[in-house]
Amino acid sequence: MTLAEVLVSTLLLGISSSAALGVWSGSAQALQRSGQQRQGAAQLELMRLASQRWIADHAARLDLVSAGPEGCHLDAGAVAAVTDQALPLAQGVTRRWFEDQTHLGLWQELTLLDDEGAVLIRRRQLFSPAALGLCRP
Amino acid sequence: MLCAVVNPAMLSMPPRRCLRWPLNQRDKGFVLPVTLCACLVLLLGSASIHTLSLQTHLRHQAELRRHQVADQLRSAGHAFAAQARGAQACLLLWSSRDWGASTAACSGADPERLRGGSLDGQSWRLLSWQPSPGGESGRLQLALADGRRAGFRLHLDPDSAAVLAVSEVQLQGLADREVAS
Repeated sequence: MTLAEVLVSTLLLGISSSAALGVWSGSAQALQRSGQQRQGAAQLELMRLASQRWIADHAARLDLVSAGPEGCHLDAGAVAAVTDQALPLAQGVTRRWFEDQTHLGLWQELTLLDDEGAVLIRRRQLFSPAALGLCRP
Repeated sequence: MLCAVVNPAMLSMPPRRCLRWPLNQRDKGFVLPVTLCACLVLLLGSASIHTLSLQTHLRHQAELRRHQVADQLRSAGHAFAAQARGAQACLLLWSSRDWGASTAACSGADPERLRGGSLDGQSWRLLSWQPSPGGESGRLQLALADGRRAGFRLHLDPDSAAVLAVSEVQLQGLADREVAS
């Protein structure tokens, strides 16, 4: 073993250890972020299902369905108010209800935000009162 | 190297036992290969972890995309049910293949309103509608513009043919680009 050999080996080991630590750190952070997003996605899916079932079960009883330009329709404001009370959102999740432009129903938009308010996941689905059995003659 | 500058005779010791480093000739040059092996292990290990992280991320993205496609197809199913009201409800008693011939039986019904539409910038089209013999339900197949398709079961009121409920979406992969019959 020579001094040059030791120096070169130390240098190589230092460089590779530093690179490996950087990659491990980055991968660990990415895995953590991915896990958080997976949890958030599961929350959004749960909320979507809960909203659909809640509207199907309670919309008629709470008079959320009324006559509109295309027959029966759900009132976005009333639905937003009652679902906010009945189905509280988890932290970092926002929900928005808005009318379809062609009056086919209401869109529910669920968004998962990160700590800085940036959108991580967005889910959007149309809820038609007719598809929920709320427009029977 | 040190032995080159120290005279062994001055120390009254054999040359091999003086300040020579390493002690055995066979050990000469073992550090560099060992270090290279260690570097290789470190880099391969980090590459594996990085690949695992990337695979997890891609799997998560694919799952999210599948959820979003399912949302679009669910929305299309709800849009179909919304269009199948009023005069068009009569058409739900017939297979979509017979809508041309059954238009006379369903006065005022416009089959084109059930054959497709546009939602949130994404168009959808009907692949098939097949009611059950008793008229209590029917099998609906829809496709998006990108070819992704799904099936639903619609529960109907046998008297009025009004939709009572739409089942959970069943994703069916990509459809061919043929126009719905």
